[in-house]
Amino acid sequence: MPQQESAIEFEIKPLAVQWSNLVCLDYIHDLSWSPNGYHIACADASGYVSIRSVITGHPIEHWTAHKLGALRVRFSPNGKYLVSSGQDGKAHIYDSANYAKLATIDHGENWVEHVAWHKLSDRILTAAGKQLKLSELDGNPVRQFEAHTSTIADAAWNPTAPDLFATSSYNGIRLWNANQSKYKRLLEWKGSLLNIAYSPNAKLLAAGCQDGAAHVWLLPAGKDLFMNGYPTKVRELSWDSSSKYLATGGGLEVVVWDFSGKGPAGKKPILFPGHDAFISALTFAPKGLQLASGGNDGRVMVWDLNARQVVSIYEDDDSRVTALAWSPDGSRLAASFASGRLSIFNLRK
Amino acid sequence: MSSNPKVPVTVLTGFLGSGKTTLLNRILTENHGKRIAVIENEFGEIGIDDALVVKSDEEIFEMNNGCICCTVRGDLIRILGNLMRRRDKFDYILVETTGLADPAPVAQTFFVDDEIQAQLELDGIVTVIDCKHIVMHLDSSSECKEQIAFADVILLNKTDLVSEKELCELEERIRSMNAMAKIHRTRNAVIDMEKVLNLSGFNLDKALSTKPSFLEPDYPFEWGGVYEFGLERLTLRLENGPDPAMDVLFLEADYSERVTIDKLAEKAFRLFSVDKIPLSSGAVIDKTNQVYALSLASEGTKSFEISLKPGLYTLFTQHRPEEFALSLCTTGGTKEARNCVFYQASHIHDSEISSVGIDTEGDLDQTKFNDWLSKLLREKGTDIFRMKGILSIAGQSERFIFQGVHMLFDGRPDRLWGEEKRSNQMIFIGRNLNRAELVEGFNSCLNKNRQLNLR
Repeated sequence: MPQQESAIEFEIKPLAVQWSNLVCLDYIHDLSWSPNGYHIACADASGYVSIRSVITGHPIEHWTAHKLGALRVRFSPNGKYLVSSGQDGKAHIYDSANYAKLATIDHGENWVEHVAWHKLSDRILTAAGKQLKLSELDGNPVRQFEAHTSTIADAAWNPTAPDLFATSSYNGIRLWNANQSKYKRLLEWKGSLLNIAYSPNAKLLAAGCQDGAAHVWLLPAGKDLFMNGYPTKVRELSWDSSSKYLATGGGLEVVVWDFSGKGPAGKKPILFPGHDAFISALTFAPKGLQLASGGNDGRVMVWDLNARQVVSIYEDDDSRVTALAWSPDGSRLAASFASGRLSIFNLRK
Repeated sequence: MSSNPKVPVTVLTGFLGSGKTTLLNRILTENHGKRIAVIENEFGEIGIDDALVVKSDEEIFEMNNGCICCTVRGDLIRILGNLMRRRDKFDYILVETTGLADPAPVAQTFFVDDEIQAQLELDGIVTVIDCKHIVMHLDSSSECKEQIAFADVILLNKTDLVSEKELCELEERIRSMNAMAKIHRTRNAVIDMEKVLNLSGFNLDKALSTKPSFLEPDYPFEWGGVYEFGLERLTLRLENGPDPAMDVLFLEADYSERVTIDKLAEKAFRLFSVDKIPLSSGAVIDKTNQVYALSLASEGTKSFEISLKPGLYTLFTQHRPEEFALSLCTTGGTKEARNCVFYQASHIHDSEISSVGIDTEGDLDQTKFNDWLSKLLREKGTDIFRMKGILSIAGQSERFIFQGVHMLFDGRPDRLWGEEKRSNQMIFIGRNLNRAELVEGFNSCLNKNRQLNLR
């Protein structure tokens, strides 16, 4: 018999399922909550976009948005618009009142793999191949940017400065000002950088690497920290709202780095083992220290960083977790699966 | 989670104009009913509508994984990863590379990325060659050599543009560079699909499943014959031949019936790489285990007296005996070899790219072998393109199978040896490989007791 190790016993609750439905035809690539928390949008590998009511799970609208796969779907920060992008080289802007198409941004043959709304909801950044575009709501380009030397792996707006953004690609991160066509600064790193994430205070910029590592730049100085030894490439990155903790995937364990005080250099990270297959999604709640993780084992786990413990679990029988997203008020968690299923969990129950 | 069978991926390489795109179109037309996705370089022209074609710019990424030569194709990681998410999965994926592509990053992508590894399997690398124009690239282009060295299948295409003699020479040269690949001659890239698809070239279960002829190494000698010497006076006689000199070696062959020429050939192979004694006509051959460089430039018959005690000997000659009308004369006549073996000539080989095959009995000491292989890959990994092997590890009842690309490799225990005779078979394909060093290094990992028994 295995011995009981810890003195304090936590009760691990199953996640309270508000509803769980097949909302898409295929692998769900992306999820987005409407800012008011009423609607949730999904984009799938068959090119389908589906909008559901959060409360009832009923379909609000659904349509084939892209030939080939749909890759991204995002509500604008003011909730008035929705953008979808896909492998057909297009990004469409819709009116979220009726989901009528307002405009299209055309990237030619390249897959539009990243979209990012400007804070003011009046412009949108799209990345396809080596090409970056900033467009108005009518789809017209605001500015042409100098092409990247390799495919853009991710793009993110600086959360504190309105017109600054960053893009990652092979051999570094470029920092841009939306008003200039040439990048302002290159944070060099010889290697393949994947996803990027600004800390909410914009003082730290994290990037996952193809070769089993994560990289964090301290801004504006540009000093960098390098964390390696992950079993797989690192794509899953999430900062907590206080900019103190960075959670990373890249293997079976959630690895959390503490950036308070002197930072994580020389310190051991906090590890959360619990998945039986590689972690595929990771996200901190909008407030507080609850962290949700999803894996290829079909498991969704919610961790409490204060308690250093898992607090609730959900297990899907036959499908991998593909994306996770907290509702804007943090009361609910949405998880999407490779089967096209979407589950909404209620955390306040 | 249910684990679906992995989707095979075939990589097509070859210079511009070799017939690579013709082959690709042929595969697509002949595979009705299969869902095929094609990842095509920017210059490709595919004429088939129902295949999903994704254009891709080759993006080569260096990996910071402590392995200096590890590069991957970043574009393939992205595209393949995405394609595999679709519910209506593809049955097959073809990757067409640019004419000047280095195949290593493509192959290494399948070893390095976890997503790719979980869902896809590199089935094989098929290299298409334009017989007429290859010759000018073979000497100058390292990409061309690497495409040949990495291949599981090589199509000698456009055979109608060259003579049979040119074709034979080309085939022999390519064989010397890559002894593992299957070579097919084609016109207009016409070939049975089963010869290019579903090869399982990188599948460990099928690695070396058919005992390949490539394991016969290219020896520095072309002939070996066993003689029985008595007390009679013996003279080795040679006439003028194609070369002004020839190396010869006598080895004691023991009285044991079990000793084969092949066993001795390995020893001879090592001796041929050490110092040789030059010898002119009239001199005496009185040592075994010593290579003599016979000087044969002078006109007329050259004679060398043989002074060795009675017994069984194997004579190895650098060239074929008939080229020099070689004979072993006694007072009464000539002595014939009891049996003899011809070896593949090595001097026609490409100087830079070659294959080294090892086929030896005995059990490997696992620690020694690991140490040797990791040191080898650390030092020579950039020059070792591909390797495959079936190994007999001391104390383990299963066969150990492994394969690798540059410094990356994977291996695991396979089925039980059972009734099958335990042995080690291995092949290296690479640049500037030192055969003697590889063979010696490998042999030094063999379990000592076992080695003594063999001897």
